[in-house]
Amino acid sequence: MSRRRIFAAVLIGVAILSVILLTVISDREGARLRALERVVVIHLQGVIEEAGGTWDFSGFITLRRVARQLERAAEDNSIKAVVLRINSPGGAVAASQQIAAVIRDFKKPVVVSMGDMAASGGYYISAPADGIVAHPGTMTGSIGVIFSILNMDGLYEKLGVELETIKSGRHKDMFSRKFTDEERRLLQRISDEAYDQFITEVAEGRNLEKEYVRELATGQLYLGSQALELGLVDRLGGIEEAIALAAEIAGLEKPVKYEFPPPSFFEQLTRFNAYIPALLEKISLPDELFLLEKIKQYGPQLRYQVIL
Amino acid sequence: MNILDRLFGVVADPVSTMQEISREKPIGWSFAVFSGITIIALWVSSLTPGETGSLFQTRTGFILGGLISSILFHLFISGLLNLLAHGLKGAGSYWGVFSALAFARFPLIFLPTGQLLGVAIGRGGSVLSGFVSLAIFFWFIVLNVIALRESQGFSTGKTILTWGLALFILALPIIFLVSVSVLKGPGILMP
Repeated sequence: MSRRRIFAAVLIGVAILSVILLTVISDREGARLRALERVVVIHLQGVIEEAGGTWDFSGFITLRRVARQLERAAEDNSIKAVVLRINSPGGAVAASQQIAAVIRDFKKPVVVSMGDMAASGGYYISAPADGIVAHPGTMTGSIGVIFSILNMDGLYEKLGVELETIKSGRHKDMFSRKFTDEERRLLQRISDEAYDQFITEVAEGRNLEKEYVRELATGQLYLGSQALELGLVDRLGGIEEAIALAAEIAGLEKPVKYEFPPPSFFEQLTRFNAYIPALLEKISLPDELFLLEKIKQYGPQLRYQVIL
Repeated sequence: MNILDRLFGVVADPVSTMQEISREKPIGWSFAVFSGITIIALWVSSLTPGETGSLFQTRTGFILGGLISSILFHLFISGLLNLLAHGLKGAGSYWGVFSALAFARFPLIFLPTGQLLGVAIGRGGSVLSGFVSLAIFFWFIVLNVIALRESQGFSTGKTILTWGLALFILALPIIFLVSVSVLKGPGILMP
């Protein structure tokens, strides 16, 4: 074999040996990390929605995203407890309930660390956690429900659009005209029912009497310091305090703060395709029609949300 | 020419080796070299003792997905470069470009050794392995330019122009999406 060939073979051999050694070192490091008592901090920021895309910059808290993050925490044996850093004005009722259920059923201790605001639905999803830590200035509470529907009469008139309706079912067109007194009562009943569900979730999650929660549930905001006095949160402090509480609940001696690595650029890019239809719609439609399309999607909404 | 001779040639005498590879078009060996080096690079990048992200739950899935997408991308970029080079009066062939560019990846095989050096040194080792990686990447870029130039038989200037045009074309969708988002408002990203 010529010297050239021997040299090339040695280069390849060195490279392969390096890969083997790196693998051994990495596996040892992995084993060391797995032996740690990690408390993972998961950031949940934005409005709570049923669906909001999977891209990490879409700005919504969705069941899918929360469930996926908790699933990762459940699968990793080195993670002994979870701190959910919540910053949210709330959002859709059913989405809040689904997220709360996932948190309630999670097997490892979960502590909520409230950010600037964890109100309404943001408080709803916090309630089933094993502990809640808020800053003294956190805005929380706002236990209540709001039912909103856009009245589009003025917009239709401006656009010169007239809506004709043929219906089967007395109330089928109720959201495309003014409500009758009976319909207002129907919707009030729905709102009251969702309100009662909110109170039940808080009472059960926080071990409080339902009547006591009902007294607090005026829809008003509370500061973190007030919420502590009222029993809506357990402690005042930031993420470190939440980690300490999580460690206490999980019985950890040396908790180590951990955050999941962000998705790779490639992974982010593959998720971007979900936005292409919306982008094309925006490009192809004139601004007025695009606005109309968006508003038409904004149907009747029952929300646990602080409406600004 | 033997495969080991070619690999040695890529390191020691890249110009004439790339000429020979472009002329002979060893497609099978090109696929083998490309796949082998891509697998090594993916394997090493999957060694982070944390996680690889939710899309690629397992190392096998990560490597398989990465390998397939890399091969597809290589097939595409070879065609694009050849097309653009022909527009600039290049005289190469698709498989010639494909083979030369595949062999131009050979320096990436030294990335694990660079990383290992960093680990062995300990403190400050990440800086050293960073420099080694940068040097290997620079070497890889130079070889890519030589590979395209020798496969097309034209000047270095035209080669750089061809690469520039290809990268611009690849970046076009991203430039388009970002500019539309900026012009039409950020709300578009929140359907």
